[in-house]
Order: sequence, then C-alpha cells, then structure tokens
Amino acid sequence: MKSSKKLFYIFGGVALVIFGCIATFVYSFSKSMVLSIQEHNIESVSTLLTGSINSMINSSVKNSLKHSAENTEELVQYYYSKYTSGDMSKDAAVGFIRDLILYGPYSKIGETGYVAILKSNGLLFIHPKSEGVNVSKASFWKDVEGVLNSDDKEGYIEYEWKNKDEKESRTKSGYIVYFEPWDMVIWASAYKSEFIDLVDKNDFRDDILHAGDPFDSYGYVIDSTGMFVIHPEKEGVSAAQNSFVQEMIQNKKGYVKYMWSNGEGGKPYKKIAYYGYVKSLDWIVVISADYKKLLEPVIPLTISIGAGLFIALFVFLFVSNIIGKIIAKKINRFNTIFTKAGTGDLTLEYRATGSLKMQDEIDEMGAVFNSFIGDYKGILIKLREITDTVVELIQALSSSSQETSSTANQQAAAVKEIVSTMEDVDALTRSIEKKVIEITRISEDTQSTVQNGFGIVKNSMIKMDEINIANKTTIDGIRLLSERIDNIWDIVNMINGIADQTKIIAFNAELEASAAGEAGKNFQIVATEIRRLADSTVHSTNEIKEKITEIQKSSDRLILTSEDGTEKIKEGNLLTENINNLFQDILNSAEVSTDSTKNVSKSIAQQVVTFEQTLIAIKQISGGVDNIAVAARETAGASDNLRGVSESIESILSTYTLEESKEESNSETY
Amino acid sequence: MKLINNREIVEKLEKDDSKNIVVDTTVKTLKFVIFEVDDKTYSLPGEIVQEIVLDLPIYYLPFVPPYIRGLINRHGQPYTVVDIKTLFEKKELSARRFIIIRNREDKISLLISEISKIINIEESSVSKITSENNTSDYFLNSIAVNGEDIPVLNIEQILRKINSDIS
Repeated sequence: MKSSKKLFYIFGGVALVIFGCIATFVYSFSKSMVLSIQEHNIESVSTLLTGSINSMINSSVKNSLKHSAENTEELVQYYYSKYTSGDMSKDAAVGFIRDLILYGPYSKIGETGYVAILKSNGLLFIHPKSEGVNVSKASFWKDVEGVLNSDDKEGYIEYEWKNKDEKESRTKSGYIVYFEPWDMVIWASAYKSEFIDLVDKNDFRDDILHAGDPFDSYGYVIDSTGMFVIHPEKEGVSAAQNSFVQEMIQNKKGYVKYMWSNGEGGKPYKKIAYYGYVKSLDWIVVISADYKKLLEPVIPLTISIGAGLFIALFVFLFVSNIIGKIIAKKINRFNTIFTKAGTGDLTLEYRATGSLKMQDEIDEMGAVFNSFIGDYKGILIKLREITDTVVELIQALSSSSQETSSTANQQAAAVKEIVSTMEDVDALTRSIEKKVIEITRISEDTQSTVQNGFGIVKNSMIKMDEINIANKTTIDGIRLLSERIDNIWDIVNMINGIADQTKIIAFNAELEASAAGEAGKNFQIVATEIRRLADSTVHSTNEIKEKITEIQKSSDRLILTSEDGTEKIKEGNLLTENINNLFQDILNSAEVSTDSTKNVSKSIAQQVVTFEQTLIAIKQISGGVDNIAVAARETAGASDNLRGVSESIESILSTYTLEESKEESNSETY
Repeated sequence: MKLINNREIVEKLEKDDSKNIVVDTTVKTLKFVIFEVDDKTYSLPGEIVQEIVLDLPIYYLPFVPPYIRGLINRHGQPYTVVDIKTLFEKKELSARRFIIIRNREDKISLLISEISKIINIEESSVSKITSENNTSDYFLNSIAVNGEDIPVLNIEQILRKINSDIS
C-alpha cells in the first residue's frame, strides 16, 4: 500500500474516533441540560399552581370571616350609638349585643364557626361556650396582640387548634376587629376545612388542566383516596391501584417517574409527574408530561452536531490526502536516486522544491544525503588513485626482487670467505687462553703473601690496644693515689688542729702554774715543754704538708705525662690502623687482580666457544643467503600475482560513474 | 704507749742544759703574755691573764659600741668580748681566740689572732712609753723582746673606756 493511502486511512480513522467522542459528549451534555431545564419548568409550574390554589382559598376564608366580623361591628356600633344618644343604658345595649351574637342570625359560621367578643386583656366577654375564661396565655394570643397593636387594629390570623375531644389539631382561621369605645375585640372564627364547600373548584379547573400545555401535556388533581377530582377525562374515577399514585398520596410533594400506556394494548412510555399538596382542600395537584416530548428540543441540536462533524471530517480527510501526496512525491524522488546509485551512478542529487521556509525534514534529509554521496564519491576517487599507486609499487617490487636475488648470490660467496678468516682467529684465541692461565696462578701467589702481612699488622694492632688499656689503668691508679693523698691532707690538718689546741692548753697550764706561784713552778716547766712539743708538732705537720704538696704536684705531672703517652698511643694506633687499611686495600687489589685474571681466563674460554658458535652461525647464514636468493625469485612471482589483483580492483571502480558527462549535467538532479 | 709523768720530764730537763729555763732567784723577773692581733703584737702582764680559749661562739649584743663584739660563755659566766683592732684601728678582727682576763668584777676577754709566747723578763727590760698619741692611754709601758718593743695593754683604761661609752 502506498504511503499516501496509509496516511489517509490512519488520519481518517483517528479523526473519526476523536470527532465521534466529541459528538457523543456534546449530545449527552445537551440532553441532560435540556432535560434538567424542562424538569425544572414542570416543577415551577406545579409549585406555582399549588401556591395559587392555596392563596385563593385563604382569600376566600379571609373574606368570609371579615364579612362576619364587620357585620358584628356594625351591630355593636348601632347599640353604642343608642347608648350615647341616651336611648338605652350601656348594660341594656351590651345585653342586646350578647343576645344577638349568641343566638342571632350572625352567630354561626359554617358548622362549628362562631362570633365572640373579647376584652383586650384576653377575657372572653361574650362567648357561646367559655365566657369569663381568660385566653391571654393561649399560643394564638400573640398573633391577636400583633393585630391589636397594628394601625387599623383589624386583621386575619391562622393558628393550629385542638379541642379536648379531638386527636389531631386542625387549622383554625379568625378575623379580628377592635371596637375601642367599649374595649371590645370582635372575633369571627371557624375551622378552615369547613370552607371547602365555599370554594368553587371550577375556578381552578381550567388553570389546572392547561398547566401542562408548554410540555404538550395536562395537569390533574387527586384527593388523598386516589380519586381524580379534576382530570380531562377520568374525573370521579379512582387511580389508587397505580403505585405512582400511592407514592404521591404518601409523599404529598415531589416528583415521580413511571411507565404509562393509554388503554388496552397501548405501547407503554415513560412519564414524569411533579406534584404538590393543598392541605386545606386535601388536593394533590399533579402536572405530568411525556418524557420523550421533553427531549424534543434536543433533536435539532443532534442534527446540527452530526452535520458539522461530517463536514469537519470531510475537510480533514481532504487536507490529509493532499499532505500525504506531497510527502509521497518527495519519497519517490529519493527512491529514483537510490535506484540509480544502486547501479553505480552516483551523479544524481536531491534538490528541494519551494522556498527555504517551506522545507521540511525530508528536504533536510536530502541535503544530508547529498553530502553523504559527495563524501562517498571522494572516497572512491581516492581509492582509484591508491590502486594506481599500488600497481606502480608492485611493478617496482617485482624488479627489486630480481635485484635482491642476484645480490644474495654475491653475499653467499663473501660469507664463505669470512668463515675461513674466523677459523684463523679461533686458533689465535686458544694461544691467548694458555697465557692468561699462567697470569692467574702468579696473581694467586701474590694474594697469599699479602694475607700473611695483613695477619702481622692485626697482631700489632692488638698489642697497641693492650698498651692503651695498661696506660689507662696506670692513670686511674695515679688518680686514686691523688685522692688518697687528699685524705692524708685531711688527717694532717686534724693533727695540726690538735697540736694547736694542745699549744693553747699548754699556755693555759703555764698561766695557771705561774698563778700558783712557787708551788706551780715545776708544773710550769712541764707546761712549757708541752707547748714546745706542740710547736714542734705544728712544725712537723707543716713539713708533712709541704711533702704532700710536692707529691700531689708530682702526681699531677705524672697524670699529664700519662695522658700525653695515651695521645701518643692513640697516634700509634691510628698509624697501625692506616697500615691495616693499606694492607686491606692491597689484599682487595690482589683479590680483584686474581678474580680479574680468572674472569679474563673464563672470558677467553667463552670467547673460544663463542667463536665456534659464530662460525657455525655464519655457516648457517651462508645457507640462509642461498635461501634469500630463492625467496627473492618467489617474491617476483608474487608481485606479478598482486598486479593481477590490482587490475581487478580498478575494473570494479570503473563501474562507478563519479563525474557527470557534459551533456547530462543539467538534467540529472531530482 | 709509755706514759711520761712530770717528774721524769723534770729530771730529764735538769740533766739537759736548757737555756730557756733559768731559775735565778737573785734577779727579779716579770711574766708577760705576748699575742698578735693581725700584724700587730701586744702583751699583757701574766698575772691578769686567766686563760686562753678558742673557737667559742660570740653572742651579739645590741646598743653597744662597735669594739664590743658581744659575749662568750665560759663555764656558765658571760665575758664581754673586746676587739682592740676595732678600738684602735676601727677595723673588725676576724678571729676566734680569746684571752680571758682574771678575777674581775667586770668579766672581759680580748679577741686576738694568735698567742705567741709567755716570757719572763727582767724588770729592767720594762720601759715607759715615750710617744704621745690618742691611743697611748691604753698602754701601761713597753717591753723589749729580742730587740723589739712590745706595748703592754692597760686593761683598766679599756674598762674605763667601756664604762664611759656604755653609761
């Protein structure tokens, strides 16, 4: 299937679904709106009708009671004028009024209604049953006071009243006129239900029957037994057997939907009825309508929507068809270009029509395609050039392979000459090897001699260390001696102190002896001798001190000399250490020399082996060069084969038309 | 150790021809104690010197002249210590030897550097002090020992000086 047709069907299908959904939504919305408006209208008419009936009844009751009350007021007025004119006393006048009200022609209204006179404080002044009772506490009295306080002191009231022997309360109506000179409230009252007979239902008949006209229907009235009170055809017939009628009787106000058929075998159809209750007449006023007729305004709307959708769908499909054809035309252009490119003709280009602003994605794709084909053409041209170069190179390779072959032959001869020279060198190397082994032996002898010398130096170092230790011990001994001499110094000082004290004691003894006179003469001699002894002791100790000082000085000098000796020993030690290091270096050198000669010997042995291996390798090379000559000849053959392959590639490339011929250059653009 | 008693020593000495001890009853001799205060040499008559002591602690006295260095305790008795170097030269003597003066109510001692000797000299060797200066009152006279004149201290005058300074 062509792409334009595909587009047409896809767009058409989608548009049909979208427009169908929109139409369904608009129809449903409009229908529900119309139905809602129509139902609201019926309900309004029903409510209006019920309200107007109620107000008419109220008006009738009010007028009737007002008439009775105003008649009674005229009566009171009459007797009041008699009293004011002096024709009768007030009691007589009131007595006449009482008789006329209780027993006169205006005393009764309907079956149970009556006229009464009250005082403004609520006292029943003239009353057929309860005279003398005060009713100011009754619930309706507030309404009465409202009337008495009004400007014209006259008005209508309604209130719920239940007599003692009754089960339910009933609506009672009253009309009040106040006669001020005698403070009389004239009250005409009756139960409202007793006025049904006063109401003429024909006053409402036409209004009810025609209330359904706007909906092509009618109104009717049933009472609480289900009897048709007002109906175009079935007045006096009971409809109580119908469930919707029972629902109306029960609910009194609302709406009901039901199925209805006219007569026997009639096709049932849906109806809706709105109803309201007029309590005073016990009427249920109903306005019913055919449900289908309510929806009649929707029909022209449905037709309009359908027609509009059809036209929109047609226009949409027409436009999408045109667009599809435009797109298909561009794709067909591509198709032609690709077909030609498949046969190797790369000269065609895609050209966009129309102005730059009108160009779409396909035109952009055309531009990209043109660029791609341009690049592809460039690559093919480059490939053709490369192939030409490869052919040239292969030819060169072929000739160079032949040259290689001849050169390889020459090299084979040269390598054979090298082999004979290498054999001469090998003999020479073996002679060197023997000499080196001799040098190695001499080097080992030198090493053992140096090691002996090194041992002697080490012994010398050990002896030097021993001297150093002995010297340190001597210095320590001298220091210890010095400390001991210090102790002797202390002892000498102590002896000196004792001698000093002894001298003092000797002085004292001498003084005592002299004080004793002749008796102490001998003692004086002894004391003098002791003093002299003490002096001699001090003198001796001073000599000891001098000797000790001399010993200390000698000791210090000895320590200094010993320390100097230590320094000398250290220098000798350092010297020996240097000799030791020198011997170590000589030993290392001897070892290195031995190792080196060993290594040289080993290297020469390896060299001999290597020469042998090299000789073998060169012989192999000689064989290899022969092989190269053979391989070069094979390469020349392969070059010929490659040339054949290159020519095949060239023939493939020649199938592509990469440049336009001059005659076609103007017509090959799509 | 063999103990030597005084008798043996006397006998030994009598045998020996000692020059120092000559007991001559015909010539009247006087005994002097010769001592040193730093580089000066003084003497005191032997009879007024009770004893020589050393190394006693001096207890300092407040409100006294500087030449009174304090008190020493000798057998429970307090002795005033007089520094004659301070008295004569206004310089303190650094020493711990004392000459205790005998049998006086005012118990005093002199601070000295060293005791030199005790000598007996003939009366003829005692001569008057000839020079007059401000310290000459403190000397009774002088004695000639080995050709050197040694002044003899006047203790009474020193005591008078103390009494006048303290009162």
